[in-house]
Amino acid sequence: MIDTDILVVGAGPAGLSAAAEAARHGARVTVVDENEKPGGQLFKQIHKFFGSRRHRAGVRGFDIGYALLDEVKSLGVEVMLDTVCYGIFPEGVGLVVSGKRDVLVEPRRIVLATGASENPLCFPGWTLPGVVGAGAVQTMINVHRVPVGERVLMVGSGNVGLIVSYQLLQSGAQVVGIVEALPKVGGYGVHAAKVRRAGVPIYTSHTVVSALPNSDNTRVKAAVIARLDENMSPIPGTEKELDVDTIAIAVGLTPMTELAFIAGAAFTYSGLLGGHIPLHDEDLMTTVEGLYVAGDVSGVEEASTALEEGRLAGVAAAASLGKIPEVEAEEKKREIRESLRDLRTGPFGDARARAKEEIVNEMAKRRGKRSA
Amino acid sequence: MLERDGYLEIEEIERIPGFPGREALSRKKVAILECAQEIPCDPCEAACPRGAITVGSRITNLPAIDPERCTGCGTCVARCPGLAIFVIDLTKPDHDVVTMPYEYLPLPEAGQEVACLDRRGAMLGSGRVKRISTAKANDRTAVVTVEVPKGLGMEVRAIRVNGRVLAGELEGVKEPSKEGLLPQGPEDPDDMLICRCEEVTRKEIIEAIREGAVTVDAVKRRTRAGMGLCQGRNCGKTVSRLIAEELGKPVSSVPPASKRPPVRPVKLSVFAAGEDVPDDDK
Amino acid sequence: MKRISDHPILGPLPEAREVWITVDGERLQAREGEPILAALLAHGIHVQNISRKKKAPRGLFCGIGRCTGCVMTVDGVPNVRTCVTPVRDGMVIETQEGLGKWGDRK
Ligand SMILES: Cc1cc2nc3c(=O)[nH]c(=O)nc-3n(C[C@H](O)[C@H](O)[C@H](O)COP(=O)(O)OP(=O)(O)OC[C@H]3O[C@@H](n4cnc5c(N)ncnc54)[C@H](O)[C@@H]3O)c2cc1C
Ligand code: SF4
Ligand code: SF4
Ligand code: FES
Repeated sequence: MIDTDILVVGAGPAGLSAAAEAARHGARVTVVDENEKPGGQLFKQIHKFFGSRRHRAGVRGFDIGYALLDEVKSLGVEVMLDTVCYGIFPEGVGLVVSGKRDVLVEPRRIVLATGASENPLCFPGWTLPGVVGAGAVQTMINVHRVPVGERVLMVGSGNVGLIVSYQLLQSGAQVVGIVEALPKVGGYGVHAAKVRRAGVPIYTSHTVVSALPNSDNTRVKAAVIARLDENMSPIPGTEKELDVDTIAIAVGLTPMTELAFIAGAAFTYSGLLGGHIPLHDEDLMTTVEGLYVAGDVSGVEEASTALEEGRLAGVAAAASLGKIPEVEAEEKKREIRESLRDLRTGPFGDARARAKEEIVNEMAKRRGKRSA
Repeated sequence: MLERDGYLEIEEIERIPGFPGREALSRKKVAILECAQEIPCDPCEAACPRGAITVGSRITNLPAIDPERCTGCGTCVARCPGLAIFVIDLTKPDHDVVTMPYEYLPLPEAGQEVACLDRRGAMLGSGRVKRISTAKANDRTAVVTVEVPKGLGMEVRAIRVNGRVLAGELEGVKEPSKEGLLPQGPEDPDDMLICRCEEVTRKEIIEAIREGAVTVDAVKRRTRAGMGLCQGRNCGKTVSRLIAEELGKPVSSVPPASKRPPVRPVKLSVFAAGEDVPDDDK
Repeated sequence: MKRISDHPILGPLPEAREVWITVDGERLQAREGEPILAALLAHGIHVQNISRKKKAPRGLFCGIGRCTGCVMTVDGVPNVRTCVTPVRDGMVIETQEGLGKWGDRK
């Protein structure tokens, strides 16, 4: 039995900053992550991050990961890697360590910071070897240093699609093009500009209609793309066949909420934030007392917001255990919420700010009803 | 156009506060911040030792350049995570000079001839590398200063070194087939798999929905879609979309698939005696 | 062998002890600690298994142990997710047919 005040599931930016914040105030914290390396998404990210200087903008993702990890360790947080959290039950939280040891933990608070998983895209030929998730591409080229292919078509022009395209170019692969179903580029203009000036065409209002196999059906040989009309249907006669051996899919992320579901948390839906999301209040607590969510699992956003949400959940969880005097805790929370509001402004952030607000309002209504 | 094509046109650049102005450009070397969207980002502001860049109190403000304070030192170029800052000098009589960030291999050497590309990656001519800095403070972003043909200082934004092509260019692209038909894969879209683990096709799922399986769980019970090793993580979202389409309802109205522990395939031997392939159907 | 041997941000590929694995009867070199799948991709092997119903080749998809596209039979154990399982010297790896069969443990 592991004895801990707060169990954090997920050692990405959200989980690590939640752990740091809670530990700083004297809570005993344990972080578990199924990977052998901590850092979550950060370890695949070799580009310099956005955000404010306070969120270490301008620093490369993996360096942010190392810094966070050092901080957490210096605060005495226990980090258990290669440890899967497989369920949250009335009798405790189930962990499997190194695929062998089954451990039950009874923490007083839980912070879920499990991140998000990639959405697939179905089209004829999508199960062929060579059709891969953009995250898989990133892991292979940046972490394991092996190419996934030589000529790549990227599907999706959100930040993930743009950044992974750039990283493919850096790794020595050719990017034949980026297709985007919407009439405009989804991600930040500066990321798009980087790949454009290297010569990568971005086909807006286009989609991939099929992956063509090689003669023995063992690999992608080409991708067929076509222009879309206003109803998002391919326009006959606009097809192009691109010689590629790899089609990378970057069409969004879905929060990984299984654990919240098993724990019995109530859900709401936000297409903008990635789908079904655990309802939560201003402190990021779900409808299950003592269960918090932070980072992409509470709505897909960015590392900078994940860091702040982690801090918020860390403060709230520690405060609810009496580790922080109430006035100080409220002051801290206010300051973090303000910084979150700042991060959620501008043409990309405004809509997310509204979606997040709606979740909190729905939660408040629900609570009001119950106490009435 | 930035939104549609992924790069800024000159007219768009002239309208943003990161543009130092034609007048300043005609008389001095100066930084240009090609940052045109309100994104949460501000390291450029602190990067400039002369205080020539301002973002201001709201982090999503567009950065503004003060051409009078800017000395063209180039410190800011490697600090911008968007690689959106360039220093340009249009005052030389026989060539223009562009300082740009460069994060590819091979690195060029001073004096080397390189190909000059514009914001779309189109080849404009050749230039000569004047200087390259790989200072530690730049954190692995090289800063390259290139002499480019006169008149192209506002155009050249990338270089190609030793002929290394980065993008796929347009070779290997075949235009529409004459009949105007979609070159079909070997597969009928109806036979396309939705669930890759259990190999359930689109047709099978649509049939199940029409027969009344209108939740992700019901489709799963009927077709086994989502019962494989990935536990529905791959197909769940597609199945909800198909249900929504068939019923003519928004996706938000389709409840999430129920999840059961363990949330990852775990060898059963971990929990009990005996060894088996994990299966959440147990 | 295909490796990203030099990289503008990550630098030269760090040294790693070499190990040997056997893939469908062929002995191949790998880097200690890397996932099986990385070693296979470095050798240009993109098919990890043949699907059960449609007998279609499958391979890398998610790269993080979630989709099971990359499962193979490793040392006689079927359904091993090669993208998250590190290589070990002497490992015997086989392209898996369908759900695979338990073989002799080596
Ligand atoms: C290509 C790409 C580029 C990006 N660029 C930027 C950028 O420039 N700036 C920016 O701000 N953001 C960027 N982001 C977004 C950012 O990386 C994410 O928003 C952020 O990592 C989310 O943090 P998180 O802690 O919520 O989740 P993650 O970083 O995903 O971490 C979650 C962790 O939880 C673990 N986990 C999940 N389930 C379990 C379980 N059951 N048991 C144990 N462990 C579990 C996972 O393995 C993972 O390690 C980028 C993302 C991508 C994919
Ligand atoms: S070039 Fe130098 S002086 Fe000009 S804005 Fe950049 S850092 Fe400041
Ligand atoms: S650092 Fe670069 S991307 Fe960020 S605000 Fe400044 S100019 Fe824009
Ligand atoms: S590629 Fe998805 S589990 Fe290995």
